[in-house]
Formats: sequence, structure tokens, C-alpha cells
Amino acid sequence: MRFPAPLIPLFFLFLFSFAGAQTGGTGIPPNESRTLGNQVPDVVLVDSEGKEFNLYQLKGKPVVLSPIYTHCTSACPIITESLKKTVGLFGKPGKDFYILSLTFDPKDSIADLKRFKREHSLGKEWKVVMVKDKSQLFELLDAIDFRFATLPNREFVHPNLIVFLDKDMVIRKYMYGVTFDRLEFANALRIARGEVALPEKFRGYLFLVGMLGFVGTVIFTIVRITQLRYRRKVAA
Amino acid sequence: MDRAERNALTVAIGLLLFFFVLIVYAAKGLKIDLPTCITDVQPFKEGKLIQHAPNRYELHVVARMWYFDFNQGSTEIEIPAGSVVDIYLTSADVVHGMHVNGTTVNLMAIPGTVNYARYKFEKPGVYHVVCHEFCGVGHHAMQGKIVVKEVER
Repeated sequence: MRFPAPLIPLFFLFLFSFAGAQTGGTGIPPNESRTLGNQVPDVVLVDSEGKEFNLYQLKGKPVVLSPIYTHCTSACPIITESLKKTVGLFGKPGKDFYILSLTFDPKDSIADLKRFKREHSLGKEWKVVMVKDKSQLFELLDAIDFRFATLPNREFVHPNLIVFLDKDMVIRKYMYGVTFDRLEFANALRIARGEVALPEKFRGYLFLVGMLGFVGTVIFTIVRITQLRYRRKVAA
Repeated sequence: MDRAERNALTVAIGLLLFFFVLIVYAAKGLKIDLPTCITDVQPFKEGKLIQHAPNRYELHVVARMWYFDFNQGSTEIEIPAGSVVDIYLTSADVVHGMHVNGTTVNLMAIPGTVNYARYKFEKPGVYHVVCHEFCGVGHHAMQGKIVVKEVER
């Protein structure tokens, strides 16, 4: 039997429907379709030494942003440790890219940052930071669509992820989970550096292409059925 | 095919396409979110209003027979206009509903899970909250209030 031609776009729609699927963490995952390609706001950060600087001062190199809270006992330490392991394979923080462990707990202080940095023996160039102003903190979190829920004892439910910003502070890629696959990390870093292959540029349009295919198939099928019925009627 | 039949078909296809465009516009243009159900969190037992930043709040609501616990038993809360509120809702007993009148917040309160929606209260005023899921003899009286106060500049 011949494969019915009108079904080909449908088949592609089926295939593409998996393209947007993402592996979730805990809590509410970010809506990537609304954040990818947006520039994050220029916020004032404070590092573990109490030094203030603007996020945009890091322009020029890709930034790996890791939202954590310092007194976390479950996911955040694992994220930081596995990030430390993976990052070492791809260059030096501060030289090839910047790494920011950003605390999203509005109540965290510089002492907390210092303790977190010491506990995980993070290098000098690995910045553990907080946003100076609380309203600005939420501007930044909203820009990456990072949502958290407060639990008793200052614990939080939050998605486990890291965000890759390019040299112009534009959000380029998310990676989910508490451990980071080397290949996936290399790929994300490549995208953050702007080395994007041509097919990847069109990925955002896949849904539209699939949808057009679907609508086209439906209209085509209806028109064909109508024609057939009309011809049969004329023949009769 | 009969002409009337063909016209009806054309109109139907046109309407389908029109509604599809509307759906895409609602999601991308108006940025309307669907409520999210969080299943991997232990539901909280008590209502709480947490302020994170001047215009940033987290509201934990526990729906019970027959009232909304917004903040440690209180059924009324006050927030300044322009606040962004992350609303987390659960139920302590049976299935309830929560609709904040005049907003797009419309959630189900289901025991054992937490439902979530984010809303920015731009306009000052009193927002009445009602249960829209029949939950027993006191259902009609199950209501709460979110008072959005004008900010003095």
C-alpha cells in the first residue's frame, strides 16, 4: 500500500511535538519560550568579599548562572559540586567564562555567601553572589523565569537548573538537574559563545512548521474528499 | 456538494483557524499562564503571607470547610497596589475552588497537591475570593478578601 501523501506533514507534526519537551526539575520549571533570547537586567551584585559590581561588568565572556540558596542541604550543594567537577573540563572560571552562584534567598547575607564559598572550596574566580537590592533580585529572577516556594525553616522548593548567558548577557540555554552531562554542558557553552549551527537557529519555528503542516493536511483532505464526492455525483 | 453545505464548511474552517490564532495570541501576546500543579511538594498546613521584597509576595492559601486561610487563620489580607503575588493553594479537607474576582486567578484546591498561579494586582480595591466548587453545606459562605491598597507616592 502506498503511504498516503497528505499524512506526511502530520507525521512531521508528531515528530516535532517532542522537540519542545523538556526534562523538569522540582517546583515550577521556567517557561523557556519566554526567556530565551532576552537580555537579563543590569543588577548590582555583592560577592562573598562584600565587593559590589554590576552584572554588565562581566560582559565579554559567557556567564554560567547557578541559582542556589546558601543554607540548602539537598540540591544546591550537589549542583555546586557537580558544576565544579564539570566546569574544570572546559576552562578556567574568570578566564574562559564566568561562574556565578547566585543566592535567591532574599534573607541571605555576605557572611552566608562566605560560608558557602568556604564549604565548597570554590576558587577565587568562582563568584558566590547576592543581588544588593531585593526588588532587583526579583527582576533578575523574573528575567530567567526562576520561581521558588518558601517552606518552613527557610527552606525553598525550586527548580534545579543552571542558565547560560552569552557575552551580551542574553539568555541562551538552560540545563536541568543536579548533575551535568559533559556533552550537554559543552553544547550549552558552545551556544553561549554564539557558535550556533544553522539548523539550531530554526528550532524555534519547528512548532509553526508542524502546525502549518497539520492545518494544510486537514484542508487538503477536506478538499480532496469534496472533489471525490463531487465527481461521483457528476458521474452518477 | 450543496452550496449551503460548502459555505457551512468554509465558515467552520475559518472559525477553527480564527480560534487557533486567538489561542496563540493568548499564550504569546497576552502571556496568559495556565495554573501549575505542583505534586512533589508536601502541602503546607497553615496559610501564610510572606513578603520577599517591597512589591513581591508569596501567598500560601489553605482552603478548608468553609473558609480560606490566607494568613494564620485570617481570611483577609492587605497588599499594596502593583504587587506581584505568587499564589500557592492547597486544601485541608475536600476539593475546593478559588476564584479571585476580577482577575484571571482561578484554581482548584485539591488535598495532597499544591496549585500555583502568579498575579500582579495593579488596581487598588477589594478583590473578593470565592469557592466555586461545591464543598458541603457551608459552600455558599466560603469566601475571603484581598484588599489592594493604593500606594502613596
